[in-house]
Amino acid sequence: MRNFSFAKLWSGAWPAVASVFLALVVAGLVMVVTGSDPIKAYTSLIEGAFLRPGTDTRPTAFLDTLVSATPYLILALGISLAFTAGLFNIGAEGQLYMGALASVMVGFLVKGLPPIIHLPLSLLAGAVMGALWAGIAGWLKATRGAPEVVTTIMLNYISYSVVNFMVNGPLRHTGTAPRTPDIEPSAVLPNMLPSPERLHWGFVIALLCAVAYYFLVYRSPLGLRIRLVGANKEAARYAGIQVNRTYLITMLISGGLCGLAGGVEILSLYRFMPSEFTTGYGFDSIAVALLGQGNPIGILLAAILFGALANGAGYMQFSSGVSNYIISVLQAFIIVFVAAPGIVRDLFGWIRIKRAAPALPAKGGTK
Amino acid sequence: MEQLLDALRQIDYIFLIAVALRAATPIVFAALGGIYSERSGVVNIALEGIMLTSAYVCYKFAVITDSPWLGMLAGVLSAVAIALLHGLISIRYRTDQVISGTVINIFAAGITGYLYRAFQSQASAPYLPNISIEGLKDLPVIGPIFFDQPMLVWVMLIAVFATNVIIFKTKWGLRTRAVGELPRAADTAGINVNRMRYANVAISGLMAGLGGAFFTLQTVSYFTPNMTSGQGFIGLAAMIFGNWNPINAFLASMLFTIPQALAGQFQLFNVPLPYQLLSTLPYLLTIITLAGFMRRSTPPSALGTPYVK
Repeated sequence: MRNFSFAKLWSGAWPAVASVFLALVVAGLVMVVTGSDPIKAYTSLIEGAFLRPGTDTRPTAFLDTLVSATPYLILALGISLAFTAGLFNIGAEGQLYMGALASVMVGFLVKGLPPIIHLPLSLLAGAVMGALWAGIAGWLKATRGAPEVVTTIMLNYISYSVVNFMVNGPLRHTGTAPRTPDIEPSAVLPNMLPSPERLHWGFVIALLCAVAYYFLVYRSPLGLRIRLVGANKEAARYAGIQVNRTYLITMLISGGLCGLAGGVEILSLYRFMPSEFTTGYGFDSIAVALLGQGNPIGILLAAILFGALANGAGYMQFSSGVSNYIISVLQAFIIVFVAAPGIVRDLFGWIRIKRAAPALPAKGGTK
Repeated sequence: MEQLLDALRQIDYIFLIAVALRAATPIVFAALGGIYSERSGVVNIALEGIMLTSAYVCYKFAVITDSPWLGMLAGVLSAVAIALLHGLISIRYRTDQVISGTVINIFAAGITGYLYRAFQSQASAPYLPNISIEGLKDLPVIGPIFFDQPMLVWVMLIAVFATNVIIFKTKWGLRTRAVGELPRAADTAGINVNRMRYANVAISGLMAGLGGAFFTLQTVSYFTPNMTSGQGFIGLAAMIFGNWNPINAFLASMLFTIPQALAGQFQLFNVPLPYQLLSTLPYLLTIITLAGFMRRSTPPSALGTPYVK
């Protein structure tokens, strides 16, 4: 990005934009076939995600889209960093869970600290927990060659059970619902605007993460090593880079971001840990990372798009009667078209899609 | 402690094994599906989504046609179609197979949820029959375990042995393993690598499709979004823990479900145990196996690599 130009940015973004557009068309066809009105659905989706103004009781639609985009952005940066090293972190969801749990624990167990210390400490706990959780997969990959694809999937399920156990057992508060006590006010990640707006400082944290991602990946020696390992690990090894060490460090940072995402989400919006915290953010963020193509600006835009889909879905369902599950269908088509440009080429021979170098693992597999 | 011993004395272990065998059925189907696909060199983490799709289609068509058989047929066909879509994306377009699988999972959750909401109905699907054999089912031990079970439990057991024979004793299996281990050599020997992969991915869909049928045509008679709740991934775990071997994958599945069934019994007897932690067993064992702490698992060597002539 040293020679920044909009033309260059556009040539990288073009396949992503085309994929989103095509996915909208195909999901629209699904709606037509099943007897729903896609025009009405999309209009209300855009309205619910961007256009509806706030009232005394309702937050401004666009600002709420940024609230939804916040976890997507942080998670996708983490997943994208792993992609850059040729690693597939499917465990973002589990790292988010464990990060949220650790943040909440520091948030309500530690008492009597001023907010200036307590809040950063709680967020840090989330990041460290996420890093350690992903670090298990990174360490097993580096030392034992265990495929991170499978270990991170397995760690996801373990994390659900751990959270469920903690919230129903040792950390359960005295009320009827299985959840932890509220965090101390000093650990709350505050809102940026007065109620009913929900936009909180987590969005700024997410933006800072994107900036940090840029400097880490494109401006630091470690970033260079990560990119080299991802591009060709044999060549990297010949160049004297410790590949396994780089894998471990990458997984630690990737998991740290995902854990931080959990901390940000839980300390701002929930302020306690519920037993059912099924966000699905961790999986959707794989799509966000793919769509963002390893570029922090691309990831930011993709995160806002997915935030808009998540935020607008409720209003769409309410006002047009189209089920919000169509959003998942839409997201699936977006990834297919981004990840397999050949399909688009074959479907529409006249569309020439130049494949920008996407930050994908060179070779996947549960090996 | 007292409660635990008391419960251990009172539990009906035969019943427990029968329950575990039923619980293992969709897991084993998923594991077998994984074995066909991965033995031929195609990673298949889409099994979860394929099962979910089949579960929905089975339900819908069984209700529409009022026949569980036609429902199962439609469900299995839909599963094969989705599996072939995974094949198309990963074999023809050479997209990373893990990404393709992730896409299929997101797509399946979305489309089944969407269709479920779009055509909501309270109707319950007709069940597939149980294998309940008079005379035999009263036999001690094996009676309740084998001769009073849902039909698909039997289909699963047959599929386990059939898969074992197919993979290790037939020309087809030899070719499948060849394209999964050394596709270049297989190609040189005149085997059409990608055709073998498509075929095995299709069989993988067939297996996962039967697993899906178990949810809506034998366990409950309705569909709920995301009802497969990770069973496809446990199947994947069983496949790895069983070292890509059908019999071992079956045993692994039982190893995963027996503690679950036991936990269910303990709960009935109010034994205080951290049940949530018990449910992490399959995942922990899989990680330990993959890390080679017990014995190293050896996946097919060309797994995950598209074949380019």
